[in-house]
Amino acid sequence: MPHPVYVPCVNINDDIVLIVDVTVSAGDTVKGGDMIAEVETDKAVIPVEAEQDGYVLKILCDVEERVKVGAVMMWIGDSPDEQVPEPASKNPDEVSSRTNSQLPTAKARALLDKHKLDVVQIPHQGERLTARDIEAFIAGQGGTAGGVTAAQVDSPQSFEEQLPGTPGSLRSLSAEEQGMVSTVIWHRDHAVAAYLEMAYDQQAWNDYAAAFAERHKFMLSPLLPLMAYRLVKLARDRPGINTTLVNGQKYLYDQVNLGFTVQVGETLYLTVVQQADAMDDRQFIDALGEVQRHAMAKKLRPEESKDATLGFSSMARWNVSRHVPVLAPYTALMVAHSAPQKGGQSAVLGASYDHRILSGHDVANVLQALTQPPEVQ
Amino acid sequence: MEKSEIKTKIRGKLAELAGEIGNDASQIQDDDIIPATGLVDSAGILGLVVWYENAFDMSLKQEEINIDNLGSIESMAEYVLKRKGG
Repeated sequence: MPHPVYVPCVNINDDIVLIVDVTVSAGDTVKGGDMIAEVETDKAVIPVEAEQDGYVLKILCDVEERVKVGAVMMWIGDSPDEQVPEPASKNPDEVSSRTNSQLPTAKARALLDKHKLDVVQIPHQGERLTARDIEAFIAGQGGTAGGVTAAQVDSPQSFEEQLPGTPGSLRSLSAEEQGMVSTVIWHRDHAVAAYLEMAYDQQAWNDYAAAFAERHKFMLSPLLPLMAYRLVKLARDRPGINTTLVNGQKYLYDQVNLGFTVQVGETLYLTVVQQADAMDDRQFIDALGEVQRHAMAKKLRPEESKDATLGFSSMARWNVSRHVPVLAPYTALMVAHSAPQKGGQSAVLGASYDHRILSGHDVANVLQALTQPPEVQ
Repeated sequence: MEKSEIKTKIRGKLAELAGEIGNDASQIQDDDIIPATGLVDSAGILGLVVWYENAFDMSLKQEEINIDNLGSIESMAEYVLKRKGG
């Protein structure tokens, strides 16, 4: 199936961007995350990356051309011989030739870009396409589009803020920083986040992990991966914790994609092991180890950092005794592992949870089960 | 590359990673089991493995990352030579 690559919205005040480079040609193969072009506004030059692996089918823009934000700049297909859709309603020229009355409002443009929607897809009530039209469209599609929900209209990009009075300079967010902003905004706007914690003796887990490491001749302590795997198994038995809420209904995931935080330099990644519930403990540890190495090398594959259904976070490395993690989008539970208190094995296991879905009782039961390794229970 | 040169590079990286968490790895012996020394934590060992792959241009499978192959400076150097056919 051909996938459109849209001209990105760099700044909501810019309707037009300049194509400064196109780094691929028709027929080339690309991988998700590869840079395929660069666009420029008055304020910044940003790379345009392929969102999936595939073949460049057709390029609809030229270097030095000024193109409309939201227009299709190229098509990428899963196979090299796919037919691209008729360009009549998609090419940049037509978008730029629309009358002002057909152009979306600034807030609507930001939403179109965020949801990777094209203006021609959305029916609208008034003369101009508005954010309300897009929200109605997304709600009609089941509440999501492009991986985010309509209520994310309140992102920092959707309105102009006053610059502080103190002298300073603006810079664009990196992709990782943008991801963090999206996560925090989902937590703020959607989840009704609560937190609880439980003290426990970590000795049993330490012994269990040490024996496991010796048996498998591991270089790295498997303590945290084993605890995360225990959480995966608990989710398999208690599907309520592997759930999110969409448009007032519970959405029970059919698989457990375990999100596991990894700090690389100044960047925090939520790495993801897909379908962790289909693995045994050794397979899970190997899969998580590989994802962590990819994160350390800054070579995460797209599927290794998206669609977490459940989370696990630890700040023990920094001797943090308590932390309250932000929930990853569309998750109901993020377990927080912290360092044992000085001079002992007594430690705290906490959890942030979405109180719309889980009660304190539910989460306490999960934490209680998680405080002991499987063979001790 | 000579084995001694490989060991010098590994020792240097190990010292750097140990230094990041306030440890001094200058006294580590070639045969010391790195995880058992406590000089670097799990994140440091992970960093050492990622660096090792890049520095010696080798892509490791997860099952290769074990004490037998990478447990000490000596075994890490040996494993480079083995993988390179030297």
